[in-house]
Amino acid sequence: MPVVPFLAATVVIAGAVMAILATDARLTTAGTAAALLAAPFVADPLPQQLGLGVRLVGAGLAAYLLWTSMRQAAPLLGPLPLAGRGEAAFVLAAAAIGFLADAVTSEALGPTAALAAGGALLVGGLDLLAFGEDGLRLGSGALLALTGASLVLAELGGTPGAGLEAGLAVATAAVAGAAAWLTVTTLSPRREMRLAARHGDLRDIG
Amino acid sequence: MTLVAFIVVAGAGAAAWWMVGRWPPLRTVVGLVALAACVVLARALPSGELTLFGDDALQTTTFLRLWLLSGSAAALLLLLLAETLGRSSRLAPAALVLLAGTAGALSLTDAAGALLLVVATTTLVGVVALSDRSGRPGRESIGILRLPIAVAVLGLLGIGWASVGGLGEQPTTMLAAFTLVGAALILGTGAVPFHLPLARQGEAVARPLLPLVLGWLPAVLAVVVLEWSGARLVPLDPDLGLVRAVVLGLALLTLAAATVAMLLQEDLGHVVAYAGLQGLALGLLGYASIDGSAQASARQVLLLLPLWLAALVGVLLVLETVGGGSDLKALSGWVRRAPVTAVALAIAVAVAIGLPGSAAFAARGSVADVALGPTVGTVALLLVVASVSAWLRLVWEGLRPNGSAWGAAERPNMDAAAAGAGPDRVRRLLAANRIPIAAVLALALAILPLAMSLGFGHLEAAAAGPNPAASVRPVAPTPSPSPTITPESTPSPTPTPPSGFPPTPTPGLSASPAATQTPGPSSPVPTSSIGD
Repeated sequence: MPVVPFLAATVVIAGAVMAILATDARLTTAGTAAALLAAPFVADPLPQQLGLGVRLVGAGLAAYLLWTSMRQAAPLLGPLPLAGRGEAAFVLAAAAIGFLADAVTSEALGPTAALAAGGALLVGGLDLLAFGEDGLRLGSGALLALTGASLVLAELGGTPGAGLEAGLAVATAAVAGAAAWLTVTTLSPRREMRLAARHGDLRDIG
Repeated sequence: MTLVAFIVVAGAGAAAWWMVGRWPPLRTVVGLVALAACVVLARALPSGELTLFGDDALQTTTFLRLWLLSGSAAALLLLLLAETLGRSSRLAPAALVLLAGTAGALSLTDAAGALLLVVATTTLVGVVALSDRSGRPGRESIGILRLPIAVAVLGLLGIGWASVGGLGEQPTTMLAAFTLVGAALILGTGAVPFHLPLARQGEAVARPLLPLVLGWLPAVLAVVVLEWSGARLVPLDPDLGLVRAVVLGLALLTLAAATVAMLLQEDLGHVVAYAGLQGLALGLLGYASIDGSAQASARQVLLLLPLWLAALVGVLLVLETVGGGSDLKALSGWVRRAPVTAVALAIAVAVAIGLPGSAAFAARGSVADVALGPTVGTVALLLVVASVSAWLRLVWEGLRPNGSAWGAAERPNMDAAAAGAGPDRVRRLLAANRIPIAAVLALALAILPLAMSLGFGHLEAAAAGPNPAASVRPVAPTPSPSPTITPESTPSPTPTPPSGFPPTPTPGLSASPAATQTPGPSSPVPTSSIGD
């Protein structure tokens, strides 16, 4: 197995686990950013310089948007349904299954760890997107799921071309922008990141 | 580079609109100027222009040109109408973002990249639309992330399955790809019973943005999916069995449910929204048909959809403003008092349902016939035609005696105009006549799709033209040799167009059977490049 994709996949999985386990918004943001920035390197051969550059710019912009929006809020995040540890276990299990499937089907699908990293991100991202109660976790979940799907696509279809990388970069930045907007506009009067039940709900103004 | 210029102007226009946000008159000017520039640039867009981007490209087609030209013109007219009525909301930035995204998505030669551009555009338009409201957004705003991401994940996995080297042409692989991409399309176009996420977004946005959220965005998604299907599925004609039947069933159910909902709804806004969902169901039929000619017909239907939906929303805005609401019962007598608006409604509905003898009518028939067969296809068309009864009900209300509230909102404007001369006389006169002006703009909005459905712009030929996704650089990770894969020759020192663009030599791997199915633009191909 090539070293760079394997190391990058390890960083991606670790980032996803950190984003899910953390109850501190800074760690969630850092984990998401690590996964986004390492994901383009989970490919063999690596993408063209143009595509890689565009993708990294998109990931960097996404990380910046999440970071700046998160700084306006209180750092503590609410718990997840399985306290984070259960969700992280699912992510690690998905990664293990991905590595196993990769080993079994490497002849047919290509010699990268993209399936493991992609599966882990998909499970973690969709979990956050489904059960997140604040803009940051929802946005982090959306970004992880999007990146995970792109990694599975890279595993199935080969190293992404510049067009796909550009599409991913634009989509990543756009989703991060939406997440940042949600994070900032849904802050409670006490600067807590929690979505109100409905538009304009002021019941928790206490 | 005209296409790149179009994307830059549309994107910069949206950014400029935000930057001058504190000065509403300047904001209006920026929006109008940017949209007018988009009309001019779309008019100047050459067909067959190729802008290289690494190993992919942006390819302009007649269909893209027609879409951008008609879309820019419709957005400009709708913005003028909304400004006239003081309800422009955030239509200008949303339309400009949408134009830039559409230009990228419908020209990119990579289907997965195009899908992601649609997802990005959907997310951004969602933010622009929801940021219009004051107050803290609640849980309903989650939809701006959940729906596009669900579409993206399903779509990317489906496109990935179809790209698996060596396995890509196996029936089970193609079935999985069809199912996943079909699921993305069903969610994205709001097919019943999966229409709630899209319907909630339609509920949350301001009225002028309805044709963008419920018509334009899903239609672009459907066109991207159809182009991918035309490149990957249609040439192989896989046996899709039960899954295809399920997709066809959902499309038929959507046609029927939308017609019933249009009849039962008391709110004109909901009637218009369901009309949009009904139109999108024809795109789903086109996808499930797995037939090149039916998919070309579906592209015609999808191009017209945002245009007639914009016209219907224009009528809705006029009636809401002058009638004080969109409840059908509050609109008594509107036909007598607003005959120009009534004509606009009649034309928009005629295009929406299909004017017999027009290209759009034939396209609907073709999609339904090929996808469902002659008998069930006729039933599907009758379901569409049956929705005319919802519009007849609106006209019936309009022919009744005037309601007491009719025109009450306009009295202050009329009184101010009659107050006499002064420096503001022109402005007061415009304000007093804003309803007739808006009605004429609604009529212009309705005439645009009518002209196109009657042959203006050669819609039929444009929809049957080259398909950018058919020239996708095939992704083939398998190192093992395959009889259909030709290894790349020595790298060329100068950029060359990707495969599928004759007469330029084909670089890369030409594993896609579709790469030879759809002819590219005739020579010479104007090319330019971005980056290395």
